[in-house]
Amino acid sequence: MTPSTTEIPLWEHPVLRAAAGETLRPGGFAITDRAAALIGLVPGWRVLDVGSGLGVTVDRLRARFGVESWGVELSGSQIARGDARHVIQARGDVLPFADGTFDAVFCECVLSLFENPRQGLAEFHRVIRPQGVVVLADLYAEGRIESSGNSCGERAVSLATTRTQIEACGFSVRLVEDHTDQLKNLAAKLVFAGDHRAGGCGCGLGYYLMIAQKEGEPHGG
Amino acid sequence: MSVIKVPEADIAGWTCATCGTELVLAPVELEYLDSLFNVELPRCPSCGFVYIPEGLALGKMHQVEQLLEDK
Repeated sequence: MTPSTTEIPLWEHPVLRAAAGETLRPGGFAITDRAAALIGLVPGWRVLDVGSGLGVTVDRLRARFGVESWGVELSGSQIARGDARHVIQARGDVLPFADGTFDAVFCECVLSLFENPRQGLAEFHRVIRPQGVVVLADLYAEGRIESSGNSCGERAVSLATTRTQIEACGFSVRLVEDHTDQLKNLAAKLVFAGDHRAGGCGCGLGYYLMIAQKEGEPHGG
Repeated sequence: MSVIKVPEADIAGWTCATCGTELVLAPVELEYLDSLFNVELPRCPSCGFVYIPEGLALGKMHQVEQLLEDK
């Protein structure tokens, strides 16, 4: 049986690519580049993009910042549609890397889709070196402690919940910024492009950028 | 910025009242509050007049305005 368009998740639907471009998320590269500048990304750093989709952020980080970036993506169809040179098919909460492999982990518009976000954050913590950083950007829903449903909007939780989870995993939050304007902008583009789910994307939801640092002494320090 | 194609933007049978030229689909920048959208709409290739179908103005554009105004 062929699935109807309503059964295809938004991140797999062509309408999202039409509205959001190849990053498939609010803000596109603007938030990625801002985060990279804020954490002081330098050439030679090993960076992981969790939920790398079409792999464009992995390529962006290599081209613009000279880092050794890799991606993990669960969806085989996303990997097949994109640039798979530096992307591995894997779950974001069971990463096929040794402890302390990465200087930084990026996870943009993906964590809210994890079955167990706290387990995912613990896995990020494991693969990041001491004093390395995690960059999270995602939807939030104020007042919501537990996620439910399947869409990004339904699964969003409050900023306070995410902050509690990330601190419980051994990170210190260094920065939180609100980028809800970028979410609304994407929701409006989805409306123009004809996606019926777009209204829910903009109502009562926000979008954040959070940068947190792993505690502990750096290697060789 | 990629151009968004809008299903309601149909040029069939429409000509510019001033120039008499048939409208063509062309990228048009729509700005509302702080948001900019690059949308494909019917436009006169001679004078640049843009035609916004009533269904689009009262439907999606109205929905977008409300969304951006947080109503």
